[in-house]
Amino acid sequence: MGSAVSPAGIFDALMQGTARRPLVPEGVLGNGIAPGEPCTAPRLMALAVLVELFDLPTAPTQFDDVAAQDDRRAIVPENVRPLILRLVSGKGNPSDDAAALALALALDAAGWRLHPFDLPRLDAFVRKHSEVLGQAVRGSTDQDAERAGDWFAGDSLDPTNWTLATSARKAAFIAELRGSEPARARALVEAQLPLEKADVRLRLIDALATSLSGDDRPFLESLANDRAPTVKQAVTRLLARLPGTGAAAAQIEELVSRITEGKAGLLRKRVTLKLQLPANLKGPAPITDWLAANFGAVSSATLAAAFGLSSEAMLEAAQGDDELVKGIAFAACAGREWSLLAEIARRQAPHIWAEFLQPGLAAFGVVSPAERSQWISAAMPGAVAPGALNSWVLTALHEAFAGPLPPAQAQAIFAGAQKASHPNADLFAAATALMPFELLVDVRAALGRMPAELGARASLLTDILISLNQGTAQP
Amino acid sequence: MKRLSLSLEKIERLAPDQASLAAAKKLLKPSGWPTLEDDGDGLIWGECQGSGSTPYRIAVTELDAGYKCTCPSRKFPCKHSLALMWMRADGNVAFNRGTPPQWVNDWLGRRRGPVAGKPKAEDEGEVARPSIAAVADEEEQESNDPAALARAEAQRARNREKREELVASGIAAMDQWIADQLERGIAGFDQRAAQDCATLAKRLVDAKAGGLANRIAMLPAQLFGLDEQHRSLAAARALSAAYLIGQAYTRQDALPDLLRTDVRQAIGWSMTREALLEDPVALKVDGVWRVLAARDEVQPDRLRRIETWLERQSDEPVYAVLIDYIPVGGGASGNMYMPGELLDAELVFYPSPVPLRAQIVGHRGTRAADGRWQCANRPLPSAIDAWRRALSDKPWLGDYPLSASGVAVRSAGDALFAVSGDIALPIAASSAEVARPLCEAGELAMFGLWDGSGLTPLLAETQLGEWVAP
Repeated sequence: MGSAVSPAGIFDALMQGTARRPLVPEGVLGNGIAPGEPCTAPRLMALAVLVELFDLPTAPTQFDDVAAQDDRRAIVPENVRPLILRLVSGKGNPSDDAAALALALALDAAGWRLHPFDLPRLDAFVRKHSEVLGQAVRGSTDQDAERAGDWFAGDSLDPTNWTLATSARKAAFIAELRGSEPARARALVEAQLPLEKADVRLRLIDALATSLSGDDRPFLESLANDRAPTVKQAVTRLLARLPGTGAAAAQIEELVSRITEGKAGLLRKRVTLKLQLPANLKGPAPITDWLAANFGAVSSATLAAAFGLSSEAMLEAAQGDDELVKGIAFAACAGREWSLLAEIARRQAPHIWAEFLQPGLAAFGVVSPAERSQWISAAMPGAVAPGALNSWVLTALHEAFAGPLPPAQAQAIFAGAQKASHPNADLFAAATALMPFELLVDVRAALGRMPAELGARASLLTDILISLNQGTAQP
Repeated sequence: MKRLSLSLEKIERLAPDQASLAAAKKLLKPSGWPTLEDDGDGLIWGECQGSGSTPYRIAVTELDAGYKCTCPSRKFPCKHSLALMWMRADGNVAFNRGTPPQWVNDWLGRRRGPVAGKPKAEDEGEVARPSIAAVADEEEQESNDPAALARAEAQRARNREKREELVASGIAAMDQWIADQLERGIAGFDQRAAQDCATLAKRLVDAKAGGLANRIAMLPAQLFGLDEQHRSLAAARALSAAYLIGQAYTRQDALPDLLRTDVRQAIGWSMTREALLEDPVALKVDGVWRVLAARDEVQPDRLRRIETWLERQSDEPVYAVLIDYIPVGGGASGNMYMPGELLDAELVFYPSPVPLRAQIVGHRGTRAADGRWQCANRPLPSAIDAWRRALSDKPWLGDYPLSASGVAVRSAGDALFAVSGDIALPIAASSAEVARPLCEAGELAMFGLWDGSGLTPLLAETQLGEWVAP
């Protein structure tokens, strides 16, 4: 072999090994090696490497197109960047707690996007909250990520672009459209549903709970055989809420068969109702799920009518049966009987709001912000006992509510947290995450009076939220 | 010059672990500090009441975050030092103005490296304080016996000669090893590198050629950090550099002075700071240096190597790198300058045809830069030309500071490139993930390290703001 006269030729020989392919140095690299100098393989390699170094690496023939910057949101203010990094990146700063969710929701509400240079450090946060932050935020990291949908301002969605949004935004858009044009919203869902995954289908079906009417019946019945069990259950739940359908009648019949009517009292006989749960339900979680699935599919008025009672009288008769009261609360929510729900919360089950968190508000068709506000106002009418509060419950409430609480409920939560017998930093972070903007300054002052180990994370969150709210996001 | 106060970010970087910061936080109440004083010139000290009867004494120089505490903690800095810095950085606690007590002056006297200022007592000529220099003088007087000096010098010469022989034998062994590797083929070198390199590295350590030993020992990890397709060429480059260093060393008498000194350092002959400062021909550059980047890596010898890259801004920028080695597990330490700081200092460069590594000769203070980094108006082709000249002067060059304006970062699949005109420098795979956001930053100015095959971006000035490698 005597043709190794170029760096490429030398490298070819060195790759295979000079034992198999000897290097013959004549003419190698011009005058790189003087006559009389030993032409060993290492010398030839060194020369070839230097030649290759001076020739810069070959450029690719084609670069990727630079993605057009279609995210018109403003980048978060410069002074907030380090605060965000401190809140949700690095060791000991979780990206999945209530504070992180509050940050994501605040960015979404004010129309900010994260600084692109911070995305590598915020990757866990962005991935966790991609539903809220939108796909455009994930732009630099989504090469191998699932498409989460684009970010749209709440009021910029219309029937032409709603399918591009994140699933939460899609559901909110449909729920809102149902308020004004139920038939059109149904038609949009009907066209889009075959293209969506099961979790998105579920959200869209739940969104149809708003302004549900008999006109929806044919469409819902066509979905009764959906391949996803969760979607099938949601469809069944909606069908059961339609008066006059077989499913509604069957649901009422099922519940009536499990509720025993009796009489109590010596002088004034009063009606009593007792619920008999299925024997195979063990533990509180399956019981709550069963109650939500069954009572959440009927309205409390319809159920009461089956016993010949008013809703209030049915509640009175259920007194003492906690599970039945809980079921009536679910039915009141499904039937939007907010006064009945408030009555339950005031008189019989002050922590009833927490019972809704396991099945989720969407299971009762509560999807729009307005209905969520009505729900929390009814379910949490007064003070909150400290014993009912912990960071997990508050985080679940935050996820269900998808935003800050109304001031009255937020104040009740924070006051309860302050009275907790075992306060901790997570509890205050979760309570702070639920605060509306108008309370943040006061909350920050209150946190400042606490020991740093209790209020540091919550305080950092308030600083960020205040800055984000005070800044003006301008595309 | 306004002195830079300690920042919380700097304290975070100094802290050896999270627990230390947590422990320090509990010490932030001024009631636990009977003494909290400063000298108004960047030196603070205090006494912290611990569990014992005597409070711990802590001193900190704000200038370079130097610290000393009398507690027995094995963490450096300890929670007391961190707490003192923290209180200073917070600014919520008042420090009384005072004169440094003797124990602070003692510590300052023992310190090596830059200090915030000489002890006041010495400045004012009041009280002579103990110092290592004074002790050295005493020892020198004791050993003024000419015969003893001659014996010691003769012993040193014998040691040097013996080491030269050992190094020569080590280089011969390395040459043979490289030839053997080439005979077997470098296509499969990565698969046998871990074992073969470890064997050779041990042999080179025995031959007192620590610099070469480190190069060889680090090679397997470097290769496995690359895509499989790039490993063979990277191996050829690394073996080639080791071979060139060995060959240059064997012919060092024929080399120019700077290149000879450089190659001896590359082999492992160390040059002490004192020797460097005393070298009359060593290049010294005075000025205000901007800290462009700080990065660290753990070497196979369990030392953490901390590099601080500096730029003296002028018409033709001058670059320097401060390199500190600290034991792994000893906590963050070293100079700990942060990107964006300005360092007013005179530097002395280790002799080399491409002078980059430097030591601080004199230090007048540090402050935060007023504005962002301004890259000299230097297109990428000019920067590459400068690198080529440096490579000509020193064929085993390695990382070279490269700054250029008018560059765009573009992607081609998973790979990123720094592009300007016809030139497209591949961005090192290890930096690709963190540098990807630069793709949407448009045209930018960049500072990074170029080794001939990959560019490691460390700082960029863009339309979206300043980008600093994490």
